[in-house]
Order: sequence, then C-alpha cells, then structure tokens
Amino acid sequence: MSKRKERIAEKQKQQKMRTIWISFGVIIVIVAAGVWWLTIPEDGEPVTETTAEIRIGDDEWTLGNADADIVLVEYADFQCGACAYYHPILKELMEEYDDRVLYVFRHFPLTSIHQYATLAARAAEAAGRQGKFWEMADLIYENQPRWSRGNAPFEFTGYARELGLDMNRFQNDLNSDEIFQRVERSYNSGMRLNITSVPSFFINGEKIMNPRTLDEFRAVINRWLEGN
Amino acid sequence: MGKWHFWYGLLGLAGFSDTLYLTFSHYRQHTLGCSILDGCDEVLTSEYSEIAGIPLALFGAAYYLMLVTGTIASYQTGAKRWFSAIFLINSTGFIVSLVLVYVQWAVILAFCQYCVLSAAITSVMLVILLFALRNNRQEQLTG
Repeated sequence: MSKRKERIAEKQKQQKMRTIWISFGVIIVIVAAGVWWLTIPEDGEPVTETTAEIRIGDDEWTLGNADADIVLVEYADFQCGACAYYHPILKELMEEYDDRVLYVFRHFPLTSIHQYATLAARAAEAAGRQGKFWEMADLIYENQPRWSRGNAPFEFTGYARELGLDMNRFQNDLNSDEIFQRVERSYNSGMRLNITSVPSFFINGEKIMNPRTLDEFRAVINRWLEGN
Repeated sequence: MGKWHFWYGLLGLAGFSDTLYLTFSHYRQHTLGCSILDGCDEVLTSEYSEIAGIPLALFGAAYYLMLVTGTIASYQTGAKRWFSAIFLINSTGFIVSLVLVYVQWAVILAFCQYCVLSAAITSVMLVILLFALRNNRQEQLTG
C-alpha cells in the first residue's frame, strides 16, 4: 500500500518536473522571440509619426548647400563618446554630399552626466565668432578623452591659441551671455523635439535611427534623395 | 530548500531578458533607448563591450541561463552539488559585475542602464542564495 503511494507520488513528482522543464523551455523561447522583436531595427526610418518642423536660422552652424532638399540636423554633445565617433563620419559624408545636403549642428549638452559639455559648446561658439567653429569642434572632439577627465578650461584655451584666435576676445565671448543663450536656445529646441539621447539626427524634420557606419549613413541619405 | 527557487528563477529570467536585449542590440546595431541620464551608446560601443569579438552581453545571457537551469535542477533533485554550482557561478557573476560597474564609472565615464540593471539583479540573486544557505543550515541544526 505505502509502496503504491510512493510510486504514485514519485510519478506525480516526475510529471510536475516535466511540466516545469517544458514551461521553462517555452518561457525562454517566448522571451527570446519578444526581445528579438523589440530590437528589430528601423534603420533610417522615421521613429516619430509626426514630423516636426525644424526651422533653420541664418545664424546656425551649417555645412553644405543651403538650398538643398535634404536637411540633416544633428543634436550633439561634445563630451559624448558616440558624438565624437560620428563627427568624422559626418565630415566625410558632407564632403560627398556637399551640394545635395544641408547639415546643421546643434548643441544638446547633457549637463547631468557631462560636466564640461556646456563649456565645450561655448568654446566652439566663441571660436565661431572668429570664424573657427568647425576647427574648434574638430579639436574638441579629437581630444575628448583628455579634457573630459579634467582641466577642460585650460585645454580649450590651448586649442583657441592653436587656432590663432584673438585670446582676449575668445575669453570674453566664452563667458558672454549671448553665447550662453545661444547654447541654451539650441538645447531647448532639442527638448521640444523630445530628444532623449545624443547624437540625435533629423532628416527633413523626421527623427532617424542612428546609422552606425559611414556606409549606412550614405544609404540613408541616398534613400531620402531618391524620394524616401 | 524552499521558496527561494521561484524568486531566484524569476530574477534569472529577468537577467536573461536584459542581457539578451543587449546582445541583440549589439548585433543589430540598434540604437538603445537610453534616457537622458545615462550614456548607453558610449558603453555599448566601447572597447570593453566585447571579448574576442563576442559581446559581453552574450556571456551574460548564457550566465543567467545556466543559473535558471541550475535552479530548476536544484529544485528537482534537492542535491547540494547543484546549489554549490549555482553559488559558484553567481559569485563569479557578482565579481564580474562589480568590475564592469567600476569600468563604467571610472574608465568609460558613462553608465548603461541595462548593464547596471544586470549588476543589480545578480547582486539580489546572490543575497537570495545567501539567505537560502542560512535557512538551510538552520534547518539542519534544528533538525
């Protein structure tokens, strides 16, 4: 009698374990499929349903053709590693599409995690006052690992000197209200577009998923040139 | 052995989902939906995100899968060797997580929310194991 009970109990236990193992397998498959679905890329496709109208001001930092059909706006933070990664890609891209694309650079310093991001934006703006915005941007990005760890004010002054800027003017501009406000205006425009990470790219007002390589970027631009 | 299997297994599944998300994102070059407060992109594109071309997240997914499998086996057999195996793997995972969080904090200077989440899950799992171990010892002592 007790042996029979034991056998039944053993059988029930085996069945229970079989159910657990099968459930485990099913859950793993469902989880994997769900995550797989979540990460399907929408490369180059708009991620927002609504198209934001991005008006480009006369005083913005641009490269390329002002009358181009394609307007590529980047919101960037000089202290962000990914932004530094994209910088040479965008430069190369704009060499190729100089006549067909207008590239607009906007500041979006993430001050909560990047201590020197705003200072870097101001340094680039101050250099821009003397016609060296892009040259300063190059130096800031190229030396990002160095100044990110500290001594950024000293480093930026060094770059200004290297670029042959009028140092008094650079220092005055760096701390001027006007430049503070310019950076803030740029940041606020990004906030209105609900940007949550940098760099963020918009083509003709539509946010795109960041292409990871120059080739991918080229493909996205070509798609837009062919009429999206 | 008691209720810990359930919660431990559930956390293991959460860790598995998290690391699998990072793995797929890595291979699909998907921009991660990171909030304004962290820098996922930087962490996931850094040289520390791979070992010999294999994303760390994939090791993470395999690690969680081992833990959950071990938990079910431990529940099924009640054997000490399964508990010891899980304990060893979880402890190793905890130490690796500590190192990775340190690398994000001190070297990359950016945090990835999914990576920090995984470190938190691993830590909680280890705490659960320590409690299970203590309870088990007490049961043995009391008889």
